Amino acid sequence: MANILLAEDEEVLRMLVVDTLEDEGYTIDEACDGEEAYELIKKNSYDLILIDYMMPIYSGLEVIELVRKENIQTKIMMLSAKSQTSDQQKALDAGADYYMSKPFSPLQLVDRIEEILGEPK
Amino acid sequence: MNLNKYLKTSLAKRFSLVTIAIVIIFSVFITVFLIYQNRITVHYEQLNEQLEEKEKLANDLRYSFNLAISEMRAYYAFNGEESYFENVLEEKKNVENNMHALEEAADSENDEVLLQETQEFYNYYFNDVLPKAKAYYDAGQYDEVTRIAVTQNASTVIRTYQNTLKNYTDGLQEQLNIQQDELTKRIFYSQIIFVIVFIIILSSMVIFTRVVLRKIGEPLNKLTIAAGEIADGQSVLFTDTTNRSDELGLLSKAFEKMSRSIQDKEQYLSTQNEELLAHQDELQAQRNDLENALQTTKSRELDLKKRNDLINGISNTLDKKEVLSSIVKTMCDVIGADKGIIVVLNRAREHASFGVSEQGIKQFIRYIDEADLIGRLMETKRPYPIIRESNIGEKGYHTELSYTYDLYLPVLAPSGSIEAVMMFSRYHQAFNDGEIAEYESLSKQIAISLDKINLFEQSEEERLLTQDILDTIQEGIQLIDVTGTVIQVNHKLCDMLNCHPPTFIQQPFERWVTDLAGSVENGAELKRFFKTTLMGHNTDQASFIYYQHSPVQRVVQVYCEPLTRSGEKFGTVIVHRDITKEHEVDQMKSEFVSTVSHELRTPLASVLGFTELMLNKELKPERQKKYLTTIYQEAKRLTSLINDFLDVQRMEAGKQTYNKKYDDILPLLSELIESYELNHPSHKFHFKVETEHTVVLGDKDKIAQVFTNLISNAVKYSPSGGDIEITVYEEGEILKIAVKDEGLGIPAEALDQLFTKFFRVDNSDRRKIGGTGLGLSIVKKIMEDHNGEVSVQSELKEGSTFTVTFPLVIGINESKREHDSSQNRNGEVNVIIVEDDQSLADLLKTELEESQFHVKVFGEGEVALSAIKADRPDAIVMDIMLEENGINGWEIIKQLKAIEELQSVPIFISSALDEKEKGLALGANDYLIKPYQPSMLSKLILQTLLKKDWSGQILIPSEEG
Repeated sequence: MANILLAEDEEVLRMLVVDTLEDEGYTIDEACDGEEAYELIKKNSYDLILIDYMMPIYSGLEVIELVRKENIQTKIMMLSAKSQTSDQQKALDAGADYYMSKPFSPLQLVDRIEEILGEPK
Repeated sequence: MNLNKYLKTSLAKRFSLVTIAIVIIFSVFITVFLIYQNRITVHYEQLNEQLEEKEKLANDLRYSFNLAISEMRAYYAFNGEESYFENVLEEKKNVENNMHALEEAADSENDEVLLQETQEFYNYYFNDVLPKAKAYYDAGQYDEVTRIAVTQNASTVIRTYQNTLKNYTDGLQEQLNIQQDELTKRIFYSQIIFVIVFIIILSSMVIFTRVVLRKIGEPLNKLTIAAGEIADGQSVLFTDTTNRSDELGLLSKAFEKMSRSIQDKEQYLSTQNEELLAHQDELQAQRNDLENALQTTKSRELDLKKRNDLINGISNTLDKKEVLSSIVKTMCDVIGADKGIIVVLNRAREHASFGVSEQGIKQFIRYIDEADLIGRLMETKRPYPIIRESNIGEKGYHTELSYTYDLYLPVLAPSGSIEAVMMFSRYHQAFNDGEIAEYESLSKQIAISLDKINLFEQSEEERLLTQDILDTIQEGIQLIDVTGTVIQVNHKLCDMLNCHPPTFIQQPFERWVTDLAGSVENGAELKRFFKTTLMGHNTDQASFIYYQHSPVQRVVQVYCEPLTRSGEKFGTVIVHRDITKEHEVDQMKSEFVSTVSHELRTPLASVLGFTELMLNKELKPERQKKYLTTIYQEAKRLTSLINDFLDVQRMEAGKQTYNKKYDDILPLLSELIESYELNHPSHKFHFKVETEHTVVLGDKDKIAQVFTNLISNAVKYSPSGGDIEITVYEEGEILKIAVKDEGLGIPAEALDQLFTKFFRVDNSDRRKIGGTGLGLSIVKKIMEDHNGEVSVQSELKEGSTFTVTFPLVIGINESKREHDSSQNRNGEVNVIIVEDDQSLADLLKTELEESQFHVKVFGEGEVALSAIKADRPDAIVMDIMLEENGINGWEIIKQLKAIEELQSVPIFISSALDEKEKGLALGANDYLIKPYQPSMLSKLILQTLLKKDWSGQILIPSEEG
C-alpha cells in the first residue's frame, strides 16, 4: 500500500483529501504546515507527497526546494489555489513533479495518483 | 700827433698821463718852494753870519783897542814893563787883522764909515799918540804923557770911537733884526703862496677830473640810457657821436654796432615774429576751432555719458523696479536734483523715488489719481518747471528767503500718450530752457527703455504663462528640435528625471537619451524607441512604457507628438506620463484578483470536493452530514469573504459612504457582547465603562462591524478560552475602547503588518483559525474614516489588546440631544453664507448641505446683516470683500459683535485676503484663506459647534428622515 504525505493548512481540505484517498486504500500522513511536512519527509519514506502552495512557516515551494536539496527524490505533487501558469512553472522549477490547481475534483485526484503510483494493491 | 693819437686811444693812459702831470707839477712846485725857502733861509743865515762876523769884528776891535789902551796904561802903570807894551803891539796886530777882516767883509756904507773911523782912530792912537806918549814916558817926561793925553784929547777920541763902534754894533743888531723880520715875512709870504698854489693845483685837478669824468660819464651815460632802452625793448638806433677812439669810443662803436646788429636782428626777429604771429594767429584760429570742436565733443560726451548712465542703469536689468530706481537716481545726478520721483501711469502705479519720503510718494501718487496733479503734463505733454519758496526741510540753515525749483517731466510712449511722469526738485537753481530740452530728450530715452521693459514684461508674462501652464501639467513635457536637442522642459519632467532645467535644456539627443536610459530598467529599448520615433520616420509606435529605477521607482509612459508649423516639422513634444499609480493600481488589482481568487478557491474547493464525493459515492449518513455541514460552513465562509472583499473594494475605491450620526456607543457594545457571551461560553466577558462621554459621531453599522471584528478575533485567537475585557474610557480629548484577550498573542515582528490586507500571522497554532486576512484592514479603514484609529499591544502567548479611538464628544448625550431637538427647530443647524461669488457660494452650500447643515446664502452685506439679525443662525460664513458699494465683511462682523445675543454665534471668515490676525481680533472663530477645500469648512463648523460650550444655542445635525 502506497504511503502518501498530505501537507495542507486548511483543515477542511485535508479532510476531503484524506477521506477520498483513504477510501481508495492509501495510507495518508498529514502535515499542517511546511515545517511539519519537511520533518515528516525527512523522517519517513513516502511514495508521493501532496503539498499545498500556501502554508504557514514554510510554503509548499520552500519545502520542495529543501527536500530536493536533501536529495530526496520522492515524487511531489503541488496542489495550489494559485492557478496562474507562472505559479505552476515556479512549482515545477522548484522540483515539483506534478501540479494540480484548486479547486480540484477528488475523483480526478485519485485518477492522477493512480496514474503516478499505479493501481493500489 | 702820435702822442695825441696814442692818448686818444686809451682812457687809462690819458688818465695816468694826467695823474703823472699833476704829480710832476706838484713835485716841481714843491721843489721850487723848498729851494726858495732854502735860499732865503740860507741868504738870511749868510747875512746873519756876515753881520755877526762884523759885530764880532767890531767887538774884537773894541776889545783889542780897549786891551791895548789898558795894556798901555798897565805899561805906564808898571813903569814901562816891556811885556805890557808887547801886549799892546799884539793888540795892535789884532786890530790890524780885524781891520783887514772888516775891510774884506765891508759891503755897506756903515762898514766903510766904520772902517774909516777905525782907520782914523788906529792912526791916531797907534801912529800918533802912542809913539809920542811912549817916547815921553820913556823919556820920563810923564807930564808930557799926561799932557798928550789931555791936550790931544785922547780920551775924547777914544770915547768917540768907542761910541762909533757901539753905534755900529747897534746898527748891525738892528740890521740883524731887520733881516730876521724880513725872513719871517718872506717865509710867511712863501707859505701863503704855497697854499694858494696848492689850492690852485687841487682845484685844477678837481676841475680836470670833473672834465674828464664828464667826458667819460656823458657817453657812458648815453650808452647806459641806450642800453637801458634796448634792454627795455625800445628800438634805439645808437649813433656814436663822440667820434672818440678810446675805450669809450670803442665801446660806443661796439655799442652802436651792437645796437645796429640788435636792431637788425630785431628787425629780422620782428619779421620772423610777425610771421610767427601770423602763424600763431592761424594756429590760434585752428585751436579755437579745435576747442570749439572739443567743447562740442565734450558736451556731446557728457550728454552721451548721461544717456549712457541712463541706458546702463536701464539696460543692465529687465527688472522694472530696479530700472525705475536707476532712472530716478541717474536723472537726479544729471539734473543735479535733490529729490526725484518717477511714477508709471499703469494700474499698479509702479514708482521709484530718490530722497522722497514714503508719505511723499503716497501723496504724489494719490494726487495723480485724485487731484489733477499732472493735468498740465497731460495737456501739453511738455516738461515745465515750477518755482516755489523752499520749505523748512529744504532750507537747511539758510534763514533768508530761498527758492526750490520743481521740474515736471512727462515720459511719452511712442504712441504719444504719457507713460510715466517724473518730478525733480532742485534747490536754489533754476532750470533753463537748454536743460529742460536736454532732460526732455533724456525722457525719450527713458520712454524707449520703459517700452522695452513693457515689451519684455509682456513677453515674459506670456512666457511665464506658457511655462506655468507647462509646469502645471502633471505630466513631464519635453520639447526637442529636429536634431533632438532639448528646447524646453517643464517642472514635472525635471522632477521625474531629477534634472536642472538650465543644464538639461540644450542637451543634444544622444546625451539626454543616454542619461535617461541609464536610469531606466528597460533603457536599451527606450533608446531604441526614441531613435526610431524621433530620429527616424517611423511613427507607428507612438508610445512606450519605461520603468525608472532612479531617482525613484517609477513607471512612465512616454509618447511623442510632432510639432509642425505650416506643414513643416520643427520639433517634437515628448510627454512623459507618470503612470506609476495606475501601474500600481493595476498591479494591486491583479494581485487582489489573484489573492481573492486564491482565497475563494480554498472554500470553493471544499464545497466542490465534498459535493462531488457525495454525488459520486455511497456515503454513510454520518459522513454525509459531516460533509454537508462542512459545505454549509464553507459556503458561509465564502459569503463573508465576498462581503469583506466588497467592503475592502468599496473603501479602497473611496466609495464607502457612512451614515454618521451622534450616538451612544454603549448600547451597541452591550448588544454585541451579549450575543458573543451566548455563543462562546468558554470565554468570560467583562464590560467596563469608565467615562460619561460615550457619544460618538459615526455610522452605527460600521462601528458594529469594527467591534464584531475585534471581539471575534479575541475569541478566535484565544482558542483555549479566557477573559475578554472590553473597556470604554477617556484619555485627553479622546474616547478609547479597548478589547483585551488572553489568547495567543502576536509576534512582535508581525505587529507592523497586522493591519495590512490579507496579512495573516504565520503561526502554526493559527492553522485551525480561519480568516480572510481582511478584517483588521477593514477595521483600520473604518476607524480612519471616523477620525479615529486602531492600535494593538500584544505579548506572544499572553494575549493582545486592540484599542480603537474616537474624538471625544462632550456635552451631548442621547437624552439631551432629544431634549434640544424637541426644543429647537427640529434639530437643524442653520448656517448663513455671506459670499458675493455665486459659484463659490453654491459650492459651499452644497458641501454644507451634504454635512446636514441648513444653508442660506446672501451676496450683499446689508441684506445679509438683516437676515442674520432676523434668523439668528448657528454659524456664519463670511466673505470680506463684498459688492463694492455695500458694507464689507469687516463691518458686518463689527456690527454683529455689537449685538449681545449674536455675540456667541461663531463666524468663519472665508476670504482671499490674508488677514487672519485682524479677523480673529474682530472675534471671528476661524479664518479660511481662499482657495480651500469646502470640506474644511464643514469640518471646521462642526468642530467649533461641538467644542463650544453646549448651551442650547448650537445644534447637532439630526438623523435624516
